[in-house]
Amino acid sequence: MKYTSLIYLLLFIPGLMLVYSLMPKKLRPYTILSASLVFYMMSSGGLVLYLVAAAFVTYGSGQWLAGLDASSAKAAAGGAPMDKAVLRRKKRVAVAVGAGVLVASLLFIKLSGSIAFDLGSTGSHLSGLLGKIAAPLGISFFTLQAVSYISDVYYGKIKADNNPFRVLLFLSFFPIIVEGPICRYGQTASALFSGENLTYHNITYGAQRLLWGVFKKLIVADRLYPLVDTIFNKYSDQSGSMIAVGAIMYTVQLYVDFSGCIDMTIGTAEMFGVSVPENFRQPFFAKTPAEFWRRWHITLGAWLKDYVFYPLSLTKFSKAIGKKARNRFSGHTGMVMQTIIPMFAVWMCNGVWHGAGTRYIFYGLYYFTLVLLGSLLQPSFTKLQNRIGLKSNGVPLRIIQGFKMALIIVTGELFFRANGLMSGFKMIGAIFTRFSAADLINGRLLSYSLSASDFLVIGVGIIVILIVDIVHERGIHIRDRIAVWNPFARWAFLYAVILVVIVFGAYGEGYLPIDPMYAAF
Amino acid sequence: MKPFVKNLMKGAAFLTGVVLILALLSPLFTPKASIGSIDDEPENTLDYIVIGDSEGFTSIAPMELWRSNGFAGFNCGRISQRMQTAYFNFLDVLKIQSPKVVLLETNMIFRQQNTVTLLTEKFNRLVGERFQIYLYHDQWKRVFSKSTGLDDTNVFKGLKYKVGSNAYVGGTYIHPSLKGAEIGRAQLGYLDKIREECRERGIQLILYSTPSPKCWSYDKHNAVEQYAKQYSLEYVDMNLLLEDIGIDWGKDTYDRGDHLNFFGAQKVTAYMARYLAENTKLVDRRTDSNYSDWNDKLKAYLVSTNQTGKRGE
Repeated sequence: MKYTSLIYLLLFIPGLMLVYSLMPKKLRPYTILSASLVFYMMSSGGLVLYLVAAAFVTYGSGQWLAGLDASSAKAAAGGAPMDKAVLRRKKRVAVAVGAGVLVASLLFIKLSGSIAFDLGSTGSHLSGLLGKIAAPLGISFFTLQAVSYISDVYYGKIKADNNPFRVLLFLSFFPIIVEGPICRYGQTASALFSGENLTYHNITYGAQRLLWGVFKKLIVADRLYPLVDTIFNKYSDQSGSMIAVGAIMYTVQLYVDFSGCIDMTIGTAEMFGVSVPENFRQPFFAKTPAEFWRRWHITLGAWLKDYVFYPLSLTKFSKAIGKKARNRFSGHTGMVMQTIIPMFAVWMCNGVWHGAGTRYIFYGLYYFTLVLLGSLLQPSFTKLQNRIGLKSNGVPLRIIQGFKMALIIVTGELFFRANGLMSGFKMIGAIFTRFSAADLINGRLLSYSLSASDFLVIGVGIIVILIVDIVHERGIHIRDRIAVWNPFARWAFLYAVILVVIVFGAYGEGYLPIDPMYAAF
Repeated sequence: MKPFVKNLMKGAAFLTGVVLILALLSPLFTPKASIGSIDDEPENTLDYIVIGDSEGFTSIAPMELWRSNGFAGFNCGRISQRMQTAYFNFLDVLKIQSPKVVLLETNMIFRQQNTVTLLTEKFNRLVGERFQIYLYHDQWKRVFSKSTGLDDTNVFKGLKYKVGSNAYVGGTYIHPSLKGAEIGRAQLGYLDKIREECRERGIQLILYSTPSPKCWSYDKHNAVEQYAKQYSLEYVDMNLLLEDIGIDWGKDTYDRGDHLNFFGAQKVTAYMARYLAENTKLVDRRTDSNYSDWNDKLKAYLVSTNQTGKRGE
């Protein structure tokens, strides 16, 4: 069931809201849990068992850790406190078992496809078996949530939940299951389990956010699909200019699709009074690659920072390397170099999390290199900037930064989308060796199953999204502004948006239904 | 008034407004039939139609059939079309056209479906029938193309024009088998409905399978052949006639054997032209004054497909 489908928007959500409202407060979380499992089964059938098993492992690990803490407290109360090192070791075993099982399963499932592909030519029985392993919907997202739960219980940030159904709900909550955002138990659990009444404010605000997500996905992202798909899948037939257009359009498509789905997710959760974290903050306005990743897929970056970067920074090995780096390099360089090991691990994990292909590992290393160089060269850039008289907030510098970031982001996304690393390099090569300016004006663009009218809709849609991003960047909350309009203007505006989505959306006959792009990761 | 009741009434009023707006605007979007530019065809002028999914709209080129035999028809294939959608679209077309022959491309018979997809499509149809603006929202494109002169796809009469080539190199893909592929219950039900509709209206239903290494197999051939025999239908499996048709997998597919490109479609259409001439009562309309527009369209078509200066022109 897709978030943009009529059955979801007109039956599933309203039906659930009705049942939820009629239920006693205590049973409301279970109502949402049942709906989440039904939602999951409608997409993945029997693979729901994997989700349940993952929740069981998560819950069990939490209980194990809680049991160790309880034993320690009991021993302390009895006058024979447990050795702290022993307790820590035992708790680490619990984390290693729980998180290990979850991460190993994730890696096995994600890697099996590529191993099967590699073994395919041998025709072995193993390749056939591995090829049949299906990835449960949202596995990459709920696994990270499960690991964060276990880690947070370990660090004492949250208490282990005694109710396994609540852990299951935390992992399976239907709006976030497809492609996040990656939530933390401490952020969402209390609202999820409180069973509060639905409110007019939450419903109207949530519905508006949901509508905005549908707008982004149906008006722009799904309409761009044939163009991007054709260019990337048949890049050898394309001129360099068309490959450049394809890379730019893919970047737009990915942002609009992913952020649109997150808008739908946040909006739906908001309707039920559940607040989930933002995943995007106008990423294309970033001035550096590091800032881009603080604005793009925010919850993945935050997860990697909290559960990979910080723990690794505190290991003896990492500290020793850091010390050597500080001794070897002085000042700023030494400070940057001491974090090189955890930083490298973060970007490798970022790449591998997206998939087993070499292009994903390259994608992680690409940003690792850029972020590292950005940090190392920052003082030199600042000196240069001052020497040539560029003001840090001036328009010329912003233009240079904008151009630089556009180039970096589009290049990264080209490799990310290319059908293999070598294809990515070939496409980059073709941009320089086969560039044809004529193709941009000779009607070639109309040969990708998109008509002039499609391009018109895409263009207007992109402009609207850009304007909204600019407004958000200035800290203006559009829904708050709309809320104070007079009712006639507010309703007229909302009716107009609904009509625009219905009339100009890329859905129904003649269009291929497009799954949320990040659901594949 | 209590805030809860007040908010409930506000919500109900807003939704009533949505329903009213959609209901009021729906007539503006309601075409005579739902297949794109088929609406531009004068009523009861099409002698044959093609129904199917993307294998359908990439295989039969109506303007080629007009050019060689003077058969007037339209390709109603739609991307990823399922049997039930094909059936409802077929009924729509029958409201404005009276074809003598229906060519049904068989790939969609095997398109996988489950309860969720069936329910989703039924619900979409239910909503769409009440609010046609949802079902036919793309009508704005026709208005746009007519008013601006851009996007003139009508010269192709439903064919998906693709000239790129990406070779299929997998060799022989049809291996004789005694097994029959399973036809889903829903697909079979709607195939029966289309067959029944054709029988009641005296339309000659011909099943055909487009050459496609990626989509076709002998098991599927067996299943369709058995169905065709059971109901005495004609069935042309072009996957078994590759040499007669002259398919060159190095040149005639744009996506490694999934779909035919324009050059493959020309070959398949040429074969189908001979088949229709021998096995149907379709008539040559080229000298019929009611079809003079088709000759104008042919000129535009030949320009669009870079065929000017070739045979017959």
